[in-house]
Amino acid sequence: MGAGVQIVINGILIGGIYACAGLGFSLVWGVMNIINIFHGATIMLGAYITFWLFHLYGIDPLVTVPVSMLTLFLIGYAVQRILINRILGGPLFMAIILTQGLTLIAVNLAFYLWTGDFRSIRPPYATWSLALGPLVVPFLRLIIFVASLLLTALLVVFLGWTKVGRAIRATRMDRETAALMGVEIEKIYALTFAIGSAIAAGAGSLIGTAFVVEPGMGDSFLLKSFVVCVIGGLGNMGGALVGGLTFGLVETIGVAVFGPGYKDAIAFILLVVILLIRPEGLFGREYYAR
Amino acid sequence: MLRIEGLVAGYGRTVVLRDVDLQVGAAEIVALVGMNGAGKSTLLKTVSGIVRPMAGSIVFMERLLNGLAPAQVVALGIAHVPEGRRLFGGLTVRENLLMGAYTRVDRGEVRAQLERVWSYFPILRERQRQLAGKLSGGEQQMCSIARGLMAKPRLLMIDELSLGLAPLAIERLLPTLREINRDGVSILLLDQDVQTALELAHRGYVLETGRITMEGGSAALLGSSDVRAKYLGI
Ligand SMILES: Nc1ncnc2c1ncn2[C@@H]1O[C@H](COP(=O)(O)OP(=O)(O)OP(=O)(O)O)[C@@H](O)[C@H]1O
Ligand SMILES: [Mg+2]
Repeated sequence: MGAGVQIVINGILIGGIYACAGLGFSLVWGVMNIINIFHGATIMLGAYITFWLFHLYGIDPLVTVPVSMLTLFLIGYAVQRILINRILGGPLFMAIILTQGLTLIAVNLAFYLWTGDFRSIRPPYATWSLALGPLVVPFLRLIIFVASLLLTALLVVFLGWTKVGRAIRATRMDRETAALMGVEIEKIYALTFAIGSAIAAGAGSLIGTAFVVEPGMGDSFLLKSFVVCVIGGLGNMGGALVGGLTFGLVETIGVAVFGPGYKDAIAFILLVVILLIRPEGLFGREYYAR
Repeated sequence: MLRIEGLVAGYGRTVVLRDVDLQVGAAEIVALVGMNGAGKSTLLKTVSGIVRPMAGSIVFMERLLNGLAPAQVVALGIAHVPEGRRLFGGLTVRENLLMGAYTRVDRGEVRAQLERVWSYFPILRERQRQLAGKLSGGEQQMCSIARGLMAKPRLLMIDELSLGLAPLAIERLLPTLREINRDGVSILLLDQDVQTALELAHRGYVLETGRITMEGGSAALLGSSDVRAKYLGI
């Protein structure tokens, strides 16, 4: 019983991070119809920014979150304006190839500059934990869980309650009509991509405190983001949250049952199963409605 | 107010509009009628800046619109109510209306315009929190027109006013459109239902395969044997 509850707690805590990681990916895919492979590298860059700021200057990882978000916001904006804009409206795979190319550059650059060493970010409170009877809640996991939820909430509020957020949603639903209303689509796209990158970078900073930081770390998070999207539906922020939590739970329970060797396989299996049963995602359909 | 001269436009290499001349005066309602595929929607899209003109000129209040982006055209005072309503179905009625005011930065002005639009279409005020996709067909057309009005236009262009609407729903819209026009908004109205369009309008144009083939006062057009034979089946 106690062990079961512990697994659920662990699953939910990790799920919050997955949700946050999947958020930006979902936003970009849903609004711009782009599968952004560079999303994984963005998470990696966010994690490195936090690692270096912590390692070199001793800055608390949580404090570095806005820094890595702002940095990747600017990089994302530039990447969209300069590169991705040129291939919009082209076939879907063009965007995949382009963002895959960018990923290769970023990952290799990271290898070159920072080596392939496994790094970890251990703030002083990394070893703290809260004990509730037989249950243990690692303090750091709880903090990044809460921070992930805050980031998600921030995005939901932005999309739901601001003029620009409304324009992003309208553009997602009907680009041509949004343009008729005076929305400058290219700017909205650049902003959407930049926001997606910023959220991914923020997630990366948080992830860095819980996982190993290395140049190739983005791959598994890209896959996870994909799964979160498929569960939750595209461009649907609430769905990303549910998708992340579901995925975190399934993965944690799967590992407990089948052993840690199956961790990444579980993501694939979940992906295939959901695509077979509900190709539009568990919560997806409503959000394509005109 | 709107003066189109020698307009040639199309998609890629396909020419749809050939040498079109058309004018809309201040506080005027003008109907543009024609069969399926005549190029009516293309004309509106060219004015709005979605389609680029190949030749000719579009002048609105002494300003050349050729080559302007849709955002600039809206900001100058032309609102386009697109064919098929094209509401943002996942947004509420209120959010749809606010999207119409996207180019307006003054919040007080937007609020005032919202009140004005609600006075034209009181039902939309009641439905403001409802998703636009859940409205009835007639309400959707109201919402789409209201969204256009939120831009505070001098010229309102409506593509296919009556398409898919019950006769009763159309009857309800007409007095409101007259009222909007009396308040100083010019209207360019496109419709396949020639009778309805010309009854509402002061003047009309007939577009056939990209050319204007007839123009004149509404009564004259409705009386013309050519129009009656081709479009009214009388
Ligand atoms: N996006 C497009 N790309 C290529 N051709 C188009 C496009 N839109 C319309 N056309 C073509 O342009 C011509 C005129 O179309 P348009 O939509 O302007 O006609 P319409 O008069 O509005 O017709 P309807 O009464 O059916 O709305 C048609 O032959 C159509 O096939
Ligand atoms: Mg048309």
